[in-house]
Amino acid sequence: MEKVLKIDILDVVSCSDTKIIKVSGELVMSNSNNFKVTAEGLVEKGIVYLIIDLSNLIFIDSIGTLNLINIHIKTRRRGGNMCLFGVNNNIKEVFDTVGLAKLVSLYNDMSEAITAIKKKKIG
Amino acid sequence: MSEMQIVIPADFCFMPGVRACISRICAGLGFDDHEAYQIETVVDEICNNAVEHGSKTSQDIVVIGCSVSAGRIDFHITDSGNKEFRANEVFENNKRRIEQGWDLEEMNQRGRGLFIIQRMIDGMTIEKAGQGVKVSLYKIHHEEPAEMKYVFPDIKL
Repeated sequence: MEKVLKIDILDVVSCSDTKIIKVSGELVMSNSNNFKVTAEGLVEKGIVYLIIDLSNLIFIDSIGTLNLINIHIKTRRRGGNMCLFGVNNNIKEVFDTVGLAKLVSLYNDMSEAITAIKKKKIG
Repeated sequence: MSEMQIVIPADFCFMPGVRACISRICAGLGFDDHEAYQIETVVDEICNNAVEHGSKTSQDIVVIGCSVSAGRIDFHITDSGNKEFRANEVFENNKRRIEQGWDLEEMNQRGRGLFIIQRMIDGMTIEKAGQGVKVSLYKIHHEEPAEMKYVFPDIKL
């Protein structure tokens, strides 16, 4: 699997305030600012519901994790939300350790994550 | 016992190479994928600290020593110094936050790397080494996962 960080942004049908950000490779100290800038840019444009696809993420450090926490806080402050899916067991252990798993909802796949975000909008 | 040493300039761009090297060493020693990932993660966190807090410029170096004996791997990571970083103080402050509970304003603070380190390895010491700091750690091959030492409160938003 490719280790270089790659960020793709995908639309969610009939949800103009929601995007899927697919993060592949390694999200670490040296590159996590790229993710931060991309995600913050979306939030600034009013896309306050973010679904982060981590199914191709192979490594994350504490700074990458901190950036995920910060983006979640930004979406919440604007009345939105952020959730994650496709987290492998190694990365889940990092999230459990730093407290992220208690803060952000984790789902198994994209379908579950989209359904949950739609419910959060209604509720 | 086998020993080796990696010396890198104090620059984050060298870390992918270090991680790949550590990962291959661990796999070669019989650590499973999960243990290898934990060791790779911890060495990455300590080296990041060494570059960020223990070095002034990329002219400084970080020395990663590694020794291997039956069922155990040791690392000694030494920075050049030139900056002050009170790792014990940061750790104790964050330990207090975890025990008392984080609030939203605190969730974006740094220092979590120290908890990753504590969770994933079996022992660590921090000591002065000349101008710099030397962090020594070891990991023993576990048949069962170690018990988590801290429990985070629910802070669902």
